[in-house]
Amino acid sequence: MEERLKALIQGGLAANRAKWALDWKAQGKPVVGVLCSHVPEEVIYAAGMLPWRVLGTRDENVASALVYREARSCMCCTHVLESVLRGDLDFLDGAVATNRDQDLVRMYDVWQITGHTPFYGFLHVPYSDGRLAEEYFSREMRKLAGVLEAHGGAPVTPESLCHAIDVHNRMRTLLRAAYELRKRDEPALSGAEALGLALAATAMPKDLFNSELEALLPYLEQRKTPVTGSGPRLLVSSELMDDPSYLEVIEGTGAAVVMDDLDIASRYFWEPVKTDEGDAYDALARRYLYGPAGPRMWWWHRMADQVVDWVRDFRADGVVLMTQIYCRPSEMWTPFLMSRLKEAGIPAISTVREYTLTNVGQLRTRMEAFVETLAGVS
Amino acid sequence: MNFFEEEIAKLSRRVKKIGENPIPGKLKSNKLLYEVELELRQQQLEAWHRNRPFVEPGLFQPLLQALGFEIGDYIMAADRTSHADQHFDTVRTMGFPDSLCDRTIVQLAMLNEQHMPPPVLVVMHNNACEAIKLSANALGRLSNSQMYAVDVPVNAEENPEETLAYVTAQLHELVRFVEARFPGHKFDEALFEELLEADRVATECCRAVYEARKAVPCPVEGRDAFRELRLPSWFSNWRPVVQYFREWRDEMVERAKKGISSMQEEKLRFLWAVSGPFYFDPFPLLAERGVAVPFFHYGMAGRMWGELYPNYGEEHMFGRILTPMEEMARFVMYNSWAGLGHRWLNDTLRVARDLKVNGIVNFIQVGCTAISGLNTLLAENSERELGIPTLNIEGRMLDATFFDQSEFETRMDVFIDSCLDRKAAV
Repeated sequence: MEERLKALIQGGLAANRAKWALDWKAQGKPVVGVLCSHVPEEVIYAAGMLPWRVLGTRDENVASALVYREARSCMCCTHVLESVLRGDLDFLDGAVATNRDQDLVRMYDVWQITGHTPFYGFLHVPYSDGRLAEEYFSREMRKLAGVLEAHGGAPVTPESLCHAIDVHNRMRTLLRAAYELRKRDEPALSGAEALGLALAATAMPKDLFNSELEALLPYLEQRKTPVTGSGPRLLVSSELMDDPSYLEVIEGTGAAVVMDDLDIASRYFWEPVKTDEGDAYDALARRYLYGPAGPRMWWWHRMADQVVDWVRDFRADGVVLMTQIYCRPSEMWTPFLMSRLKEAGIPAISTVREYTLTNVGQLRTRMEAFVETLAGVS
Repeated sequence: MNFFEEEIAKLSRRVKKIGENPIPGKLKSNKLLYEVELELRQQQLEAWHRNRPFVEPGLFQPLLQALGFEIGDYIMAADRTSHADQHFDTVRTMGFPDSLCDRTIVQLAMLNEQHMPPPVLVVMHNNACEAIKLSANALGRLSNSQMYAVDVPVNAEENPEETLAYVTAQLHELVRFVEARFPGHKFDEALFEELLEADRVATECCRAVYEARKAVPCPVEGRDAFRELRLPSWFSNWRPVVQYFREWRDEMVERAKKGISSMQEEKLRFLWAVSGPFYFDPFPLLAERGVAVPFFHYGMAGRMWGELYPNYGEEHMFGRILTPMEEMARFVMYNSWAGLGHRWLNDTLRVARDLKVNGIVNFIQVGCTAISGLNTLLAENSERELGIPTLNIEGRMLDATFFDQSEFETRMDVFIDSCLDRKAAV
């Protein structure tokens, strides 16, 4: 079972993700690149397409993308554009973006204008809350269904959408169950392994992912991760951090990353779509607006409270904020999260990182110092 | 001194100087402009002393003024600060990124240093750029104010009617939000309509001046191209502001008709886009080389100045007269920076074509989220569609430490030479 677990985790990593898309295409079915965690994958799935989360190239050379993008802009978007311009993503049949932030919109602009993918979809995701925002977003999702249908997708019927929601909710339930096992004194998964699992869910066909994780859960219930040591328990918070090696560096100091606040991990699956709340699109709109959100949304106080709640639920001793440089929503939110954590008496350290893992020595030294500080406190 | 006190001192000196010793050739309407600005700052200072409620209005100042608030122009105050270095230090101390657009982060330092009064309400919006949206969020939290978020769809062009209805509904909700949370604040619809009408008249004047800018030689002088005029609804005493717009229009139109220009011979004309170095005057260098800059193009420029988008009361686009609240909503649907990339690219080329410019100076403000990623496309499109070059030059509008004057001048010189060569070849 250990090998099966490792294989599942490996399947989500950047180097292995394309396999799932290519296998899917080999069956004559289209693959749609998903550029943001606010894209309702259920709608894509219901159209008979594979929602495949796009990550950026791990190559540090992003010269092609820098022809278009300023050096001081979101590095994740720059790395994604580099993949696009190099042709690494030419297998995609479509790409769906949002206004997660303006950097993503501008990356999408270049992608679309330079024309590397047969079709494009764009959803405006409100950053506000309330009934008006929910209704608007629900309409945007219906339009997305229309775009997919017009480009080779199967008709998105109420039945197919409800089935898609069930499949995705199952994925959420399974991942959450795996995360629950990290609350134990001896976590079942390391932080890097947990992120790897979540990444696998964003690349694999959901039914396949679900069956694999379902089979692995009994094993995980008795597993103790061999990776983490006896050091302090940490929560790591970041945006667009899709490289588990960052967490490996932290865990290399002896700390245990027992929870994350990542858009592509915990926040990707934490809340289910509540199907008992009427129309499926409306339910999807509420899920993808609220649950749980990132700093693009206006309600920073609720997000900070969510982090504090997670710290307590998972009995974390401290928080590591790893702001991706030039990720503007994160950069602006960080002082408030730090302030909220201080108010709650939770030790925290704020670091700035690149998209790909660099400056490992510096990161390790800072983490070691933080871990030592926590050890002194406890 | 706080910001208002500094502005009062600065504007008082200007009013005195212009009254005693007007510079020949300068616009006579400048005197009235400085007077209304001075009165505004005096009123704001007094309002602060009296603990009147200030609001960060987003771009909904007519609505917020009609709801009984003092209008705080936090970002535009940052544009005018003379303490940028100090504010940047404060920004860093507060933990904010100093690489984000200058004006959006400097306003946070100004609030923190008590150069500006804390707002009791921040109306956030996303109809300009990410940086403004995020800094408004920070502004609200730093001041512990009430907050309301107005969401304007990025892809408004795809569904104008739906977007209009969505934004309008939010503005009605904003009114209810204010009335429920701020006792004594009631929506004065008549005042709202009066303010929209004042803005409409001012915008009509802007459009007449936009036409005048097409004249050769260029009637716009030097830094006047950068002049950031605020619509009357930003002022609590807006009527003299409307008068200013009229006087300014008349002068500019007269200059255009009579061929009045400070330039001996106009050899080239450039469109200046996005931002500029507010601590350095590039116009003498340009004027010396015979380069006119008739227009400064930025996010709201197309709505304020040009024919790109409908003015208040105009029926085209929706085929009907809109209600006042719909007009307010429509106003914020057309920020050239806030849409998908085509909007900024197309609007910029449209203005460049209108004004028959020979080149575009695209001043890329560091940390400008609105145009980051579009600059190469703009250069490619201006060359392909209009046959004119674009100078993409990176800089900061307030942080002078980033600026290298000799490099800037060299690049500008080379660009001018290149444009002159092209013109000669034609």
